[in-house]
Amino acid sequence: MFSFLFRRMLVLIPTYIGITLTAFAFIHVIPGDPILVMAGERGLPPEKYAELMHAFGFDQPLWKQYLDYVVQLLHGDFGVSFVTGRPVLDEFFELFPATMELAFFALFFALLIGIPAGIMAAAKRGTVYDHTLMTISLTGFSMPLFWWALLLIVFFSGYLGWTPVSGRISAMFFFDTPTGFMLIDSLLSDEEGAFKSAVMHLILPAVALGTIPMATFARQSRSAMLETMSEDFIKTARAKGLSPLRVTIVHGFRNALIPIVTVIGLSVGVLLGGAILTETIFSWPGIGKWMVDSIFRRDYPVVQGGLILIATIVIIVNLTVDVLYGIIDPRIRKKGH
Amino acid sequence: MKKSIIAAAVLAGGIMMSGQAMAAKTLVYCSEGSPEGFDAALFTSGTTFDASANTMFDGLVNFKTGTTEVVPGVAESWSVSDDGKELTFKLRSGVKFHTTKNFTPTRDLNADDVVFSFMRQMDKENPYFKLANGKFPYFNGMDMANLIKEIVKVDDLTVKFVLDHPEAPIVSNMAMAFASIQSAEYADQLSKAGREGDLNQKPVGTGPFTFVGYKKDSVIRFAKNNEYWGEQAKIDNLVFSITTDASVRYQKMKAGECHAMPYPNPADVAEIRKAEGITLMQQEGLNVGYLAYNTEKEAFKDVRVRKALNYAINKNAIKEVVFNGEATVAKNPIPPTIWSYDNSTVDDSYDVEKAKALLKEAGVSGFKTNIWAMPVQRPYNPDAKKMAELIQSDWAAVGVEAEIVSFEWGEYLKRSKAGEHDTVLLGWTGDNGDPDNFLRVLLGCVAKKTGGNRARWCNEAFEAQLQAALLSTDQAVRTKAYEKAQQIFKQEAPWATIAHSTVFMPISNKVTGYKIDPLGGHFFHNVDLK
Amino acid sequence: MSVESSAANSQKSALMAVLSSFWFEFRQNKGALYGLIFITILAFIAVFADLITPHDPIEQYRQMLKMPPIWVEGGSWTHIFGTDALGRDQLSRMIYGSRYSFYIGFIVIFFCLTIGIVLGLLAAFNKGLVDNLIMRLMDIILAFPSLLMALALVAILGPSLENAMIAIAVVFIPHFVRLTRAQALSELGKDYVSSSKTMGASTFRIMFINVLPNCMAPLIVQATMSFSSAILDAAALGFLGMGAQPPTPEWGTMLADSRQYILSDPWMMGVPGLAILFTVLSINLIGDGLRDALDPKMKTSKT
Repeated sequence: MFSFLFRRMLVLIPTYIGITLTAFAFIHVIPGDPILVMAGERGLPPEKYAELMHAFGFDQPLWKQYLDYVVQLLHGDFGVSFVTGRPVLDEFFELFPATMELAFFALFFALLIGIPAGIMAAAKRGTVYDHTLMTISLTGFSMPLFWWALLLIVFFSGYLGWTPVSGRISAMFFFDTPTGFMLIDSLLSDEEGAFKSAVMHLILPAVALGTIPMATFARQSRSAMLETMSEDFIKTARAKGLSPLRVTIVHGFRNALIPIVTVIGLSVGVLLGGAILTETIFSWPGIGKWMVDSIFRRDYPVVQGGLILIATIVIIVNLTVDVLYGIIDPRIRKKGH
Repeated sequence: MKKSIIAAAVLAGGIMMSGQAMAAKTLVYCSEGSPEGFDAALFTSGTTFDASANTMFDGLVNFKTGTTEVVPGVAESWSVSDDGKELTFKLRSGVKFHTTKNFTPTRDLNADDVVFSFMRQMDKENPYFKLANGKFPYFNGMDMANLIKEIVKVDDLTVKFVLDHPEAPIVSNMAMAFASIQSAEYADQLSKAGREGDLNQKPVGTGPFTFVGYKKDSVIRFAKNNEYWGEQAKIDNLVFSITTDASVRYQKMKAGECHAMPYPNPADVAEIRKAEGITLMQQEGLNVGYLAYNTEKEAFKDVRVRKALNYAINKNAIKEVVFNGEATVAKNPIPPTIWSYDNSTVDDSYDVEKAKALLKEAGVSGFKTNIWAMPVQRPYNPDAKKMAELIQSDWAAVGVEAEIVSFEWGEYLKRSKAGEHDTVLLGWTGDNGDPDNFLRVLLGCVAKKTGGNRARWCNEAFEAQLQAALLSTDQAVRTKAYEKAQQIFKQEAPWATIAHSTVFMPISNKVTGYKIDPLGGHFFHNVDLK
Repeated sequence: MSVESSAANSQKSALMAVLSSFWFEFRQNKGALYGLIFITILAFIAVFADLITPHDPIEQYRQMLKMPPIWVEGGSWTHIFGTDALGRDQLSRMIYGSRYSFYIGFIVIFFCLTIGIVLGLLAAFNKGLVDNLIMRLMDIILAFPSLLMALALVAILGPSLENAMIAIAVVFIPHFVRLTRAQALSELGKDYVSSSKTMGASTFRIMFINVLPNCMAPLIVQATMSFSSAILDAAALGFLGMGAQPPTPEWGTMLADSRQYILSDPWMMGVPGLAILFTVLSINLIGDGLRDALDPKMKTSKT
């Protein structure tokens, strides 16, 4: 197990160097610079512009800027946002819990609905239930996400008035958020109704963001179930006279777990990508929206730092998934790759 | 049925709100974006000014809410020397800076604070100048460093600005956000503690509201300043709930989650007008949206071509489509709400035949060009791409084939500044209500160099009028000069002036005393809740 | 398992037999069949757009702005799907827009398949440095959320439909590379490859003539799914202002541009929104059908 992990970690080193290079290159290759964006319609006297470019070091050769940046990173310094003047790490840790909370509940929603739907469809293969469930999940998979999110707001918040429109909690509440997770902080705050408000605010964005993974889970668990159910040991279990439901759940599901874990791992990228749209529409203060805003403002330190941090998360999740494989199915560990 | 459900929802939301607001009056404003920070001198966006200068700070002078009239701020009076080169402010005594978690002031506002507020933007040795790397966009953009020679503390409550040359709008400029007065005492304390960044993150001002906290991209909270030198705010808490999508913002308004919101979708204006419990306030904006011809490009050197293309544009169609009818068609480069607006100019009204004839006279037939369309929404142009599509189709009718070009915003500004465009859509919202702030910034010869002048048009006669007006402090002389300038502008047609948009502000019926600011800011000082 | 390899070597009639058995399998899946019918009709519309549009898609009828579709009160038969904010006929724009959807889908999967297969085979046949280099590069691309990566790429290249397609292709390629490599590796261990080798076939021949055809089944399924994802991602980029530029009647951009009318004229988003939904849904259904028909494992599970 240890050597397996070690090997995986070793592979990460070149990948990681590539990631810093990519993140750095991206924002610097994008035309335009933050000073001009800041000056807006008015413009700047050319001398002043040159002076500012120099002061921020943007006139240095790119390779030098990159090397300086890497040295800075090795000291654990992600730099300071060009726009807000705050350390990139501070901003990241302030916003990341919001994205994580949203992604976690989106995933929770996706699993809660997706997997039972998939199992049920598999168990009732070929029936009307199967077709309906699969068509619904495929429809969710085929919706342009931003349209779907707007429709949810217009219907559930506007027309029915069941859920709040946007944000993380009612603007009436204002308390310290030590953990950054609104559900926990609202409980800690002792304010009446805060927790309920936080939950209600979470529902729509989580559903919007969870729709695509939900469809994936439903489809994936269905086909995984079908596959394992056709295998001999299930047939044997059936022959032994075990109840079909028990067979499906206990035996089938455990074996269907591997592809499902894979999909969860892959969903993290999908969730972080989808978070860009969901957060923009629901005014959810997370890292997706932060990245988009920063790209538009050419906030070099934030974009490169943010990309590296996000890539780190994706890598950690993938590593975890690999380890989980090993736990669920020791054969994979031995095979290596 | 549908109506009643919504009404019930509004009611329910309203009750929830008022239930909590019983003890303290809390106004929720659904703002359109996150502030970049709270030190207005560092930034350019109105969103940032709303959250900083407009709520928590005072200038030496302020604009009277709802007008562009300059009224005393922390300075109770001011005088200008005869040669226009010395400007003396007499400060109000007993003006208190905010007491916050971070800072307890030991003294009232004095001349040191004023000197600090400006010197940090021009003195390269000042720690706050170093911290910002000299990035003070308004101060730089207006070339203040070359205008202000010296700032002298005459006594504790008197400050004198010595100028390099007279400049008429200087007093109005002092009411702008970048000229907000910061506390030198607070700055020194932070500097000693090595936490200079807090001046921007944990602001201390003298304004009607104090800073309580900011949750990034989510909510900003302010409380009433009980020690305000002027009339105190009527509400106890002010909350900015940041909501970037305009449709979502209006949904929040309808659901009773906020009391006021800026920038509704033009398409929703008709519905908002009918909505129960919401009043739609509106005012002609102090702005102009225009299409600038790059007069350095061969095709547009000929004034007849520029004129012809002006005649070819159906501005009324643009008004209907892009502004949903809620705008004034523009004929001058400054809006009609600004003084010296010349009513006598004749617009290049929509006339396809005249356009064709002029093009023929100029000897150009069927040339190809481009229209640059901004990628962002601005109050002066809510949808540049649609506007470009309309103009494209209008020009096609006179045989001019135009391609629509768009870049990402930073790139758009950079390239249009460098003059890479044939024609470019852009606009301007006034900063201080002075015509100089439109004409010289957008059409002056210096602005051609700094990039603000996208027509790259430098006309001697026009420039002479601007200079005459700049140096004089006599309003009548200035008015005459600006009127002449507008005449020259119209003859020369470096732009197609498109429209002055209307500014809307949907507010809840519970809110009283709100006034729309012609300069585009949002002020809650005089607002009350029923 | 050996059914496919022997089929590849045999006569035309055998190929016909494979195709007809494939068609038999595919037909079993009703959803896939409906999807295929919808896409066929759409392809027909796209090809004959010039003949069937009632209006010029960029003609602006300035007297008839934001006219609702026929099924809404106030609609008219002259503009069955209504008009947009500039008075352009929605139906005609939708018809021309179908071309762009195919254009996006085909170009993206063309790039993904060609580049993905070449890189994947190279990696599989050159264990060691080349393999490592290619796979690490793919890891890097996959480490960034795809939409974020695409957004940054379009920002670099400049917003246009073509650049959006390039960006989308780049973020999809790693999946194709990984899939090709994995399939090729499992094929490499098989008897027919070693026998070709002993018979002196060139690496190139083994790569493309022997191995590749046996990797195609999952690649085709992946390509189908990428086709629909490409359409959705193009719409998402359009929403962020980084997609097709006006006056291109691309569905995603039409959807994004009419966002401000979601409350006042909801059908303006509804028309392109539903069109995208049905198209993407149909392609996904076809993808499902292909998977069932091509995947031998799924075949056995049916019996």
